[in-house]
Amino acid sequence: MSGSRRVRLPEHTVEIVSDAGEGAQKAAIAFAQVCAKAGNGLWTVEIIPSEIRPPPHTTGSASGNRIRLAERDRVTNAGNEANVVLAFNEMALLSRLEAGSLAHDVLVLIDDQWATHEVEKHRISYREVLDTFRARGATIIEVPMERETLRHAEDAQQGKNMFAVGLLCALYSKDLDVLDDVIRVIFKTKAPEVIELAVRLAAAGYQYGVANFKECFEIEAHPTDVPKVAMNGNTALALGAISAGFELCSMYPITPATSASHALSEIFEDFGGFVHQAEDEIAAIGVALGASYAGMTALTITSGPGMALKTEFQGLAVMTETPLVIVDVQRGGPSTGLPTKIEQSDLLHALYGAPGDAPKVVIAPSTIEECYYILSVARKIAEEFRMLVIVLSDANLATGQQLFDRPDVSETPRRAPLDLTPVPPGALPYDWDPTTGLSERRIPGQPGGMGVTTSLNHDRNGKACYDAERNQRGHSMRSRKLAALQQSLQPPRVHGAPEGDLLLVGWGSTRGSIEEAVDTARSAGLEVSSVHIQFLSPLPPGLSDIFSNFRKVITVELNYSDDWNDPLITKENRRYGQLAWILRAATLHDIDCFAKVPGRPYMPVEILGEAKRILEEQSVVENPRERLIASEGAT
Amino acid sequence: MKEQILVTIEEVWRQHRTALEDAIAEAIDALENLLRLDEYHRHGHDPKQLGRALGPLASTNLDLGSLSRMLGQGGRSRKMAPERVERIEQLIPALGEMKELWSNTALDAASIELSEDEDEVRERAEAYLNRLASVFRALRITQLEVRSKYDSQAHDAVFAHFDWRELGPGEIQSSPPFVVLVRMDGDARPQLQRLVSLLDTGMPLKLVALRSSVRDAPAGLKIETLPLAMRDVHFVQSCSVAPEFEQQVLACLAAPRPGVISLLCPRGDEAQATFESRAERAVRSRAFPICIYDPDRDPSFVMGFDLSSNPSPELPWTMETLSGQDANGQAIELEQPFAFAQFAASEPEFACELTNPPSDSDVLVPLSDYLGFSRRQRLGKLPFLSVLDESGAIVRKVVSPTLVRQSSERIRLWRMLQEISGIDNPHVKRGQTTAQNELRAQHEAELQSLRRELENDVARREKAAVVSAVHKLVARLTGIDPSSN
Amino acid sequence: MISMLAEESLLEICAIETHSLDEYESEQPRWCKGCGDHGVLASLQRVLRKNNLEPENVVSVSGIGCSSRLPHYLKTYGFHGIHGRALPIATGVRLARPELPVIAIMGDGDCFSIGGNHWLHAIRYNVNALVLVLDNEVYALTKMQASPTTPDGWKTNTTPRGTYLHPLNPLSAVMGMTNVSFVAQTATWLPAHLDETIEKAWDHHGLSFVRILQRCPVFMPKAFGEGGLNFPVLFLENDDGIPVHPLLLKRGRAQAHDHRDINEAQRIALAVDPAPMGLIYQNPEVPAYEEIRWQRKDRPDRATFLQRLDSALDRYTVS
Repeated sequence: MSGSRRVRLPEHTVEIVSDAGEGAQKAAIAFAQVCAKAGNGLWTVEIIPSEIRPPPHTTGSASGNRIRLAERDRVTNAGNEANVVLAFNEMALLSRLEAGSLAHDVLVLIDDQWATHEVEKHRISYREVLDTFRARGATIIEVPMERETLRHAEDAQQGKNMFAVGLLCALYSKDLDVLDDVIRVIFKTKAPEVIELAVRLAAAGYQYGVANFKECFEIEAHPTDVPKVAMNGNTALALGAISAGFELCSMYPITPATSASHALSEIFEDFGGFVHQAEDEIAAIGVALGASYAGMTALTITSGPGMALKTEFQGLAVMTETPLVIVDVQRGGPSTGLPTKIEQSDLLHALYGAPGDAPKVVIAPSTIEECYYILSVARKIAEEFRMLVIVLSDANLATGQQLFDRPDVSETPRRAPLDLTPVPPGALPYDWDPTTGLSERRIPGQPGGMGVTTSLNHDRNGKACYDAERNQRGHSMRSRKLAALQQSLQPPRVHGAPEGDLLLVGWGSTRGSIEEAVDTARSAGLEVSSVHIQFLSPLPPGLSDIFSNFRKVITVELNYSDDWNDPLITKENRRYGQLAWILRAATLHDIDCFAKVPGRPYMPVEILGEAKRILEEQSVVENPRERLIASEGAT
Repeated sequence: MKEQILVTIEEVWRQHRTALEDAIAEAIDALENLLRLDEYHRHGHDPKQLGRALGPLASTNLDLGSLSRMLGQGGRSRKMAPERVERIEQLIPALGEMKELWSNTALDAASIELSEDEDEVRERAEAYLNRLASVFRALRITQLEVRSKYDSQAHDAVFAHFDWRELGPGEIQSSPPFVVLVRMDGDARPQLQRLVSLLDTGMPLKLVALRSSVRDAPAGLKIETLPLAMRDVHFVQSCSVAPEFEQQVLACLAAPRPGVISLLCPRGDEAQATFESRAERAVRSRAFPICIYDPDRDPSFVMGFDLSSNPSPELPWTMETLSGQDANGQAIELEQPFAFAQFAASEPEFACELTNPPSDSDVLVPLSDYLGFSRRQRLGKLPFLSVLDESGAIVRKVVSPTLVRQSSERIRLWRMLQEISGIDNPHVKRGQTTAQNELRAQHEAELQSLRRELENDVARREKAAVVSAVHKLVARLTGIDPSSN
Repeated sequence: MISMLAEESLLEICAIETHSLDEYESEQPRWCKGCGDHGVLASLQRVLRKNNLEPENVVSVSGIGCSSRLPHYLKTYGFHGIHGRALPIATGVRLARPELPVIAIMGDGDCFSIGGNHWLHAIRYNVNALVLVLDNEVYALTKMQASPTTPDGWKTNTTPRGTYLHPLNPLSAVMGMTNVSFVAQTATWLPAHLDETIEKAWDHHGLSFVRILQRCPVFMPKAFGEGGLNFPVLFLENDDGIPVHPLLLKRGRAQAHDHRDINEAQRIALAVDPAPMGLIYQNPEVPAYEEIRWQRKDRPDRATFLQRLDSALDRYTVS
């Protein structure tokens, strides 16, 4: 790369945005693949316009991708503020500023056609936006993308994105030949002239960058022999469902869960399964329950509003001890809320939504890789314990893409054949083991096992009964299954040191950001650790002990809590985040929470900022003399 | 056609064999699943198995040893009894061997030509059927095992002596059949007797009787009457001119009972086109009537016996028009019944039965009339047929007594077939007549009553008209309106 | 093929005896004396015995209501679920185990009111199941509230001054739904007719919707003209329909009806007075949903399964 300075960096976050339909997403995919092939670790997040047909050249129309690439092979979250943004127009650029996702000294690559555009409004806004950025400390590189694209293509809309990829590859010192290969694969179904044009444009962008960029970045990459896959969490759930041996997925369309059913629908029939779209959410779980009762444990996938509709059936599953797995891809609530955005606010509903006491297992994957493997766990537990298992995923896992080790299919659990062995004479349908509450499941077709499974309270013989003693017994038997499972759980691993000043507790997809924040804090000498909880019901053992080793414990979660600084909020009326409520009750520790609803994942810096603030407070409290000095200045 | 039909039969046989292999494969699968299930019941809760079932995520969260102990606490009551496991373990390779055996079996192992050595045929057939029976025995045992209903005490005895006689209709229907080829040309009678005696054994064989000539033995059992004697045999006599020929043959092959397929086939080197036209005439003349007897169609014989594939089954014979020249060279057209003798006139083996007429044409009587004469009436008369000679002239040929007898028999046979298939018999006729008479009587009665009504009506009107006319007259004459009273 | 052979051979020889009626009864039914539910239970037991079914191979599913207690008294694998949701559960059972016959039993409130959405869609799915709605025109278990089929002006606990709306006509609603394949109506006070109807419905391949009129002796003693004594009915007659025995003609007259003609069926379904009894519509050609799904899916062995999973992962592999 003649003439330009090359800067080596451990990681970078770059955003590519355009108007919807201009191909920024495809550009991002191509760029991501080039980086992946080179051996970088990656995490990508889609930037989706909030409406289906937004007016062009507005902030609402911005579409694209955020790519975090690093030299280490494991990138666990979407990163902090972006370092580079490539925008096709200034409104798309502005939208990223408004989303708070750009660093103040971001490097901006922008199509300069708007500077001299015939529409005056565009010229004005272009200048103004760029001025705003410069005022914040950004570096602007105006690139004649439109003009250069038109040198090779007739329609700039159909090709500018390839020019853009070329630019980025030049900026990040990637290999043009690799880009060439990647483009040929992406466009392989297109006509040869389309492919050649795309390749030519990419080369043109690359040459432009080489010739004009004064500074380039190099994110070192470590190619590895271990095969890797890149997919989003919903696809991982779909493939995981197949791997877990499910044969029926019953669903009703709901954002952001539906793409999992789409991915399943495409291929499930080749694996002996099918996706059933029911007439509503209630029918979806009804069909899944009926199938499970009949011996084919089934799966239903939904989001928050769907969970609400399913609660009566959840209670039925628990009361009848029918194995069932529900996946809840959580989204912003309450009510319709933010359908495409992340929140972690169905936890309490999953635990306690069904009427009466309905103990069930609740687990949450924390990475996209875990989305693949978690359904095998869910199904096995559901069948062995005759319980309802709820898997809490979220919109971030659903749409983000992560590189992880390709699963080894030979490890796929073997599907057990349908059990039609006779029921031993004299056996009872709810033959609860007095210690564990476990009993053996009966399936229609097993000779000698006839009898009614009822939603009414029942005794061991399955018959409805109404007296106090047997009601108590039924409850305690269903409840102690959770205790039985809990006895086999391991305490969670502490990330960082086993003791310290501050412990961050998380669940679900916040793990990556939390652990990165902890790593950064620890390298600055702060005594911060974190622990991540996968089993939310039953909770794993040892939590209280772990918490006791830290001066302060807070949960970090994406759901609502009142701000201490809000007027009227006192210790007595403050509403905590959902995991915080649970842990406070379970451990009697005074656990606080960092719980907000921004509709996007936390950046590690945000969590780090909160940790620092807390540690500041702690030290001020600890040392009144220092506090005095701090407030009165140095003497 | 003979070749063609054997090709069809072979295909059907092969399809059934494949279905049998598939059934065996399914059975093996089901049994292996049982063993796998038992394995799970015995060891499914071992830590290693649990780990495999839970997947890689388990090790980060769960203590497999503890989980294993806890799940293993409940008694594993669903294990299979060791005898049962043993039985299944022996059954699987046995089924595997059978499958192997059958996939290497071709039709020639399942077919044979019926010759003088009946015993050999019978033995081969029995051996084949018992091979089939052993497969179905194994399949039935599999079904019992799969449903956990195999009870040594009850079932060992049942299955100890399981041969072809135990096979159910469904099983026979789906088996690849044992085919016996019976060539009827030449000395048909002994062949027919051997055929009957094979059917007598009750074995569900499919006998294919092939003949290219319709020359019968003078008296004796006609194959078309077989269904009367053997109510349990699916009988098809047909040839390629029948519109549903293939279906008829396939139905017989697929029937869950012994079957006889009687076919007319080409002579040695006969061209297909020639044969087809000959066959068509054979059918039309009732020399080779198409008969289907399907015992499964209906419990009553008459409903199961079907002549509908023959042209004009309700008639004794159809008419044929001969176009040619008469003795004077004039073009004429002659209509005469197209019956057995007419057909025989074109068959080489009957050439000796037709002779030139004597010069005295008074003694000549058309064959169709002659057949209706009593013995007395026939004295001194000679029956003749009109045929076309090589030059296209219509000539008369005298019919020999042998051919007369055979014609007569054929007509009687056809008549009998009509009666037993319910097309035409005295009871039917009587019923028809009675019904017609009743209907006519009803009709008459209705007409009568209508007429009476009409007459009454007319009379009434007349009376009324007279009355009103008188009234009017009175009124006019007296000035008083009588209706105002 | 193998299952066909199995059925036959097992019945023929292998000591599967015919069952007696009490093999299908699991405990003494606890319905009120005079309740029509007893008759339906007996009918079901008879049809199971007639078809020589193993009790373990039949599944009965119900919602909530007096009639939904039936699975407690029928010795099969019964599922007594939640109000209005019998049909989704029945669909799930059929999708999982298409070899097991399923009986769904519901009351009028359970099926037409809270279960209405599932009811209409179940017709379209044409799941192969016997669907019996025991219509006593009231919510009896919860002590007399109006149901969608409560007749005009009837006083109940939620309509103390009489109902406000005309009752819903379930027959015409079902006849208007896509893929309808079997609709029949009968009554518990016509036991022979009830038996024949249930048998005919059992033999039908597809969703057999049978509305069984039944009088609740406790809360609706006067309904249906004092339990059928004074209730005008019209018996639909057809060679392939439900036989009309001469004794039935005391209750109402017979009328020829072509149950294959959808227009005629839709017309007769609109009739309320006299109520049409018998087979209103049958179309045996409509495919059942579970068949459509099962036909399209493959059943790979383990090796093929793993191979295909590998290919699926290939799509996402970065190399």
